[in-house]
Amino acid sequence: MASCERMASTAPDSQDLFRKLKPICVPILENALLTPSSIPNVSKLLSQLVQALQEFRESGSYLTQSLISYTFFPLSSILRRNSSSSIPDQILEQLLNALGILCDQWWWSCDMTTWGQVFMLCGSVIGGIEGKGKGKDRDDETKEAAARCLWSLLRERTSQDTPPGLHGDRAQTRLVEFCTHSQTEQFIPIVGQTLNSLLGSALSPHLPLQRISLQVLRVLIALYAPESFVPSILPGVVSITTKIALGISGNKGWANGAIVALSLAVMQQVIVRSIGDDVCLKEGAVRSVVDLEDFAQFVKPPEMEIKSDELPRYFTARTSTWLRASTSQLHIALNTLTPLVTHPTIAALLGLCAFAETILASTSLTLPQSQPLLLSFLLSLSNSPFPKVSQTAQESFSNLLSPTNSNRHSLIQTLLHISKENISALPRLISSQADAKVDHAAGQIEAICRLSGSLSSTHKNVGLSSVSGGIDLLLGPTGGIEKWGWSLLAVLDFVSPAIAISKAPVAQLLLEDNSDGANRISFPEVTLKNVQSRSAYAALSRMFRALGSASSESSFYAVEWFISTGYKGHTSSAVAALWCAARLLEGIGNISLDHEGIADPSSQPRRKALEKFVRGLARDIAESWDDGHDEQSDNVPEEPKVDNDLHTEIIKGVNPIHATLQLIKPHSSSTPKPTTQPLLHQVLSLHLLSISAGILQARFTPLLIHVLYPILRSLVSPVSYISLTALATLNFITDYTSYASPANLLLSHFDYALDAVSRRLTHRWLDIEATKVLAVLVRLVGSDVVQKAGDVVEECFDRLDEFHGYEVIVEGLVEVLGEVLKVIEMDETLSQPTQGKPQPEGVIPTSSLQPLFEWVAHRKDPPEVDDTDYGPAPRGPWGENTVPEDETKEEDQPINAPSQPEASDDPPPTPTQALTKQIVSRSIYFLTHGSAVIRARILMLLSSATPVLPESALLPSIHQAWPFILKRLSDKEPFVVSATATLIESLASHVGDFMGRRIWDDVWPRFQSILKQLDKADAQNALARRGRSAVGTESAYTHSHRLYRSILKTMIAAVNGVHIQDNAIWQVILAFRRFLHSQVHEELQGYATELYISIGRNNWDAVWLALTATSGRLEGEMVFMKEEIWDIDRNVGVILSRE
Amino acid sequence: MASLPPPPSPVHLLRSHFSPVNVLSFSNDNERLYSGDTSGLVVITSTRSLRAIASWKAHSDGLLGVEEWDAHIITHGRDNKIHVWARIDEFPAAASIRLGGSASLPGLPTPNLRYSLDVNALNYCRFSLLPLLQAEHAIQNTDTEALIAVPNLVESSLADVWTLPACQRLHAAIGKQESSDTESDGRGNRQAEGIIMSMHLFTTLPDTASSSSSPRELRLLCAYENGGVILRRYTGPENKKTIEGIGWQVAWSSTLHVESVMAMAVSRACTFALTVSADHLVGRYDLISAGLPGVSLEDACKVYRTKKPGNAAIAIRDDGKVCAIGGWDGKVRLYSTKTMKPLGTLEYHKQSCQAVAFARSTPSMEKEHDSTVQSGLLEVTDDEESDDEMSEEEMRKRGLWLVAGGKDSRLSVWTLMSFDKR
Repeated sequence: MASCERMASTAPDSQDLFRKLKPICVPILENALLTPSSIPNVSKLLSQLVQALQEFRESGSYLTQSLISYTFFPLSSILRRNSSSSIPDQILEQLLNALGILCDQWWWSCDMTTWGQVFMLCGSVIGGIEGKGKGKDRDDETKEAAARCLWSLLRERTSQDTPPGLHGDRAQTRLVEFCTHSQTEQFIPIVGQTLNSLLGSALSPHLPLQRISLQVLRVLIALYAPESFVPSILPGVVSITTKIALGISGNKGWANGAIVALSLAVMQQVIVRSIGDDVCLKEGAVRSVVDLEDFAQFVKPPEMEIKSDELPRYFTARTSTWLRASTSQLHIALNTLTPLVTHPTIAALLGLCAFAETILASTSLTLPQSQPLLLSFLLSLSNSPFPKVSQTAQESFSNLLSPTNSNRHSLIQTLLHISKENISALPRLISSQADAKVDHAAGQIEAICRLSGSLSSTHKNVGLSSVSGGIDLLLGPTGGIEKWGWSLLAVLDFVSPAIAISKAPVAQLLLEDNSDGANRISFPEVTLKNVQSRSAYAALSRMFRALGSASSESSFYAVEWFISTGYKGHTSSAVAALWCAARLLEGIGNISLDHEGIADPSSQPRRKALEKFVRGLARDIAESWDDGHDEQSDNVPEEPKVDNDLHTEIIKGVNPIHATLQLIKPHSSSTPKPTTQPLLHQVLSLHLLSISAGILQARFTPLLIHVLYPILRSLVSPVSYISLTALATLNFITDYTSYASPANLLLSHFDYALDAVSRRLTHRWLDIEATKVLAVLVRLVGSDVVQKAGDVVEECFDRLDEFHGYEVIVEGLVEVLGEVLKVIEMDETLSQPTQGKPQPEGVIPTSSLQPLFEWVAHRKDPPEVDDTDYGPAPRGPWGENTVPEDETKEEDQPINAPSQPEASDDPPPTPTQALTKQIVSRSIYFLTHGSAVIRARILMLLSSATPVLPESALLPSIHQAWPFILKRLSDKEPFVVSATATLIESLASHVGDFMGRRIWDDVWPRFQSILKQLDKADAQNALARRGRSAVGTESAYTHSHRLYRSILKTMIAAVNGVHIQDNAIWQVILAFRRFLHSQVHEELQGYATELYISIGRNNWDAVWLALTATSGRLEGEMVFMKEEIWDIDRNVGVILSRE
Repeated sequence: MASLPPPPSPVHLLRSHFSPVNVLSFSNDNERLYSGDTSGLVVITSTRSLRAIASWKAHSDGLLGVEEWDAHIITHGRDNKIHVWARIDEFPAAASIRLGGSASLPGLPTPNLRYSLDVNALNYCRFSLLPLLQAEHAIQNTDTEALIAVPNLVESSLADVWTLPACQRLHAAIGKQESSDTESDGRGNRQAEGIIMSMHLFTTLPDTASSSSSPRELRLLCAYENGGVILRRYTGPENKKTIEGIGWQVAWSSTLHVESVMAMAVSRACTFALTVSADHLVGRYDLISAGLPGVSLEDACKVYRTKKPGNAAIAIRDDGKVCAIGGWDGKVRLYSTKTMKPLGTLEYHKQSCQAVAFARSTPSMEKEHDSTVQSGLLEVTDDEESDDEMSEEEMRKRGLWLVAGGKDSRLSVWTLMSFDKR
């Protein structure tokens, strides 16, 4: 005790601790013999001791030797004085805890016996064999405390851990001492027994116990088990740890991640120590061949075969026979670990990664058959979604394949072999619809590619660059793509998706100024028929991308091959070829159509060869566009033959398994697939164009001259899948060529588009869709395009003349003209405010006699000479206006004063007006077209042209066409009649004075008969209004309603703008009374009211007379006009109140 | 004919003009297309982007001719002016990458006017430029870089030859001598030929046997209002100013057309010339053998009858095998120059086709010549870029271009087959 105090006085910390420990240790000693009454007290004291020791350890101080002994004494006396069965679990647990903390420090100084005793104590507690062989099984917490104590006894210390006052390499020497001690003949059984106990406790469901057991196991195997002893425990350890790693013992799905990692570490230790290259070489189980001398010795039999009976007990000799047996078993065990690559925790995956790397690095000679398996682990791990895992896996690869590693050659060979195997397996897997396997195989290839791609660029790694060399070989001219390509293409069977999802209609998206990038359009996906799951499809496309990005320029050969195959027809294999080419190119160009957002363009250096290649590709695609779709019909008979060729090639080229699989799954016969897939072909061509744009970025702009038309043409396709893809393409190109919006892009390059369109409207080459493209173009670009599109419109009409029998073309062209007119309309409304309405002449004489007086006064005056120059008024037939105009220009201009045109009232026609004039003058011939739809369209066209055109341009044409227009009023189709009425309405409201006589002489009688007819027709119409003496239909969307409306509006315009003849006005007043009926559609009532008000301005008396008489307010002579069936009082009231 | 594929449709249409297009020419490296119209507008179009590099009102009246000459552009207008402009160089890469390389980009540059020459443009006759080789004028120790032939300032039936850039009249009133010799009253014979419709100034090839004394002999081929063609050669001392056509001798004279000659083209090697007129005839003049002793003029100058009357323009391809004739019906007809066998008809223009031009067949060689003129460093980068932008295949295709300009103020670009293997 005195010595203790002396010791304590040297170190102030120890002194404090001693003071703290003394009141604990003394009572423990007093109660060393446990009785049921003293147990709670001891337990309390022990926990105080543990706490005190823990606090001391946390303070970073070291226990002195004497203090350790002082503390150990009461503990040991407890163990001594009591039989183990009488020590309760609780006491033992706390005792072991205290002991563990003590041993942590005691390690540095204790003697071997104590070490061995504590070791045995812990081992027996864990194993439940303390006492005389039949102790009771301790609970998990106690076992855990024992394992912890063992851990503090066994774990390695580094020189940093060395307590002050001891020599620096003390840690090393102590460890060697312990190891030597443990490997003595007497101690080996104890180690073995402890290992066994630990293996048992490692299976415990108690997680902390499991964890610490595995830790101890690892260190025990790594350091303390003798070299020749490890092979004996290999099978047991591997089998237990495999079980633990796979979580077979527990009932939950996955084992805990840390546990997996620890168990793998144990397994790794036992494998490396038992069948590692080094130890097996040493014992002659395998021989390595490094130089020629080794090779010479190769034939000799091994010099020494250690007989197993020469060895001490428990030891196993490493013979080649033993090695073969163990490795094959081990391979099976490793194989069972495969599910771990999909373990959900990072810790487990990292553990697996380290495991695979270590095993690969240390057992290249002894365990060659497991190399592919372990490499595939690593490859799968490098595909992991966890960045840390994939990064670690890649680092493992770079370590394994680093030039310093002697066995990297065999690893590289294995890698290449894996890639080849997987590629050749893919067709079979795809056709057998094994999605998971496809996923796996594609993932492996992808990982290999990424490996070579990512690492060879950063540090020039010989091994990895040879991997990429292998990929180059595969994709290059000597890679035999003609063989594996075909078999792959034969099974890649694409179908267009069942639905194409679009957030908004295509045209709307294109038109609307959606500056918010929220609704970026993504490419609609193609779907693989044979691959159901999305992940497998994604893995396939990632694989191709990785192949592309890993390979250098030699892979252009593969791309070229795919593309040339793709453009040989529109078969499904051609489509597949295009798909493959697209994905490869994505990889080469390091872009992706699937991902949103643009890759940082500055990050990549320009690759001229690639750009050149892509440029040529884009141009070829654009050129082949027209051929492809023209030949569509021609190719059909040839297709089946080509298809058959493909099939023979598959059967020859691939494994015979294919045949059996086809028996199982006769998919080819069950659903007859279409021989050609022009749709998908087109879609994938668009993909390729987008990728080209992505690679070329701003340098893509010159290619727009070729590319724009195919895209626009697809955009107007009636198939929404294509049009969506085209829209996405347009967006993609817009993004990559740095335009703000697709509309901007088109605006900037409308000359290219116009050029392309106009070439496809020529006599030699007519593309029906071109008209739609033109319509889109006109809508988007507006007046700019109109000014230049004069010749295109002319072409339209030329084609109309030639193809007027074909409604499709005519309609398309008329649509274009309509768009042109809309644009002009917009322009005109902007440029010139609406001219004042021509003063209705008929009004003045009735309201005042002033003009008459004026006329009387001036009637003798000489007539005024009209000397105004009307400027370059047309002097020839209207249809050929351009020629005479040019002549006048040429002849007149040098002579006339330049100010001449300004003097005229009519401004010279703007280019747009000239164009409209041309349109009008040429379209009137189609008023007699056989198709009613076209007749109606032309009439609508004319009516929309009316407000735009100057009178001088419009009226002659109308005059010429007037008989035809009138004829249309008696057209069989009601919608033509209603369109005609609309035209007349438009004419009446815009050029009223011109229409005056025509309306009253020609139109009004026809209107009258139409009204009568409609009256009759309405009676039979299902949509007609019900109710007493109703007029018109319920809906505003019937032709009769529109016709009524047009008639009413025409009459309003006529009454306002045209001189009215009295007899006609009376008829009008009578005819339209019925529209004042309250049962009539409100819109018509409104117009009718307006009409009567308008008439009332001219001839109030007539209106008053007719209306009041009809409503029955008048008596006498006018009674005959009374119509009781009409309830017109309200409207009459409105009208009469106006005056 | 049956073996030939159907004639193509135009590969591009250019809408840069608003008035009838009169004149067309390619730059030597095929990079630029020059076009001029009746309003005096000249447009330089890049043959890569097919967009205007420059578009400016060069003359107040219609164009008669435009041509690139080294770093200059020569334009000839009906406003009695010849302007020499500094050429605008826009590097193709810059043109395409330029932000907003747009169809409707305002603010295109206008070339700077270097100097002008007053000429007589009453007779619609285009100038004829003869660039002198560098070596040549270095030896002669003059600063004359080119000779230019234009109609005489006073009398449209005579020709003048001026030097550039000095704008000195070297030879005046060529053709006056022989006419005034015959008639004393200053009328008559000259009127028989009428005004000059087209002319071509060239030198004989050094290896021709006809000119043994001097290596190069200046010659002037003129086509006249009466349908005749006269070749004159200069026999006087070099660089000596002449007046009244002294020193110029008529080598031969041939009248094949019944109408006035509308256009004349001389092959690039100056071995033969072709003329067209309002009639259906095409005259072919062998410039080497004609006038040689032992060769009758009828053999050397032949008339060929085509099926269509009314031709407005003619152009001969660089290799001298194919010629294109633009007709008043708007069609461009291709003929073999040897046999005048029709090779095809290009139909696009609806109104008269007033100008046709072939692209240079061998632009690369011309380019070498160019690069010696310009500074070297820029050329190199330019080359790299151009290789980058255009593949050789495209260059070759561009070499097969034919451009036609019509009264409809549009240019149509056609890619022809080479007509080589037949």
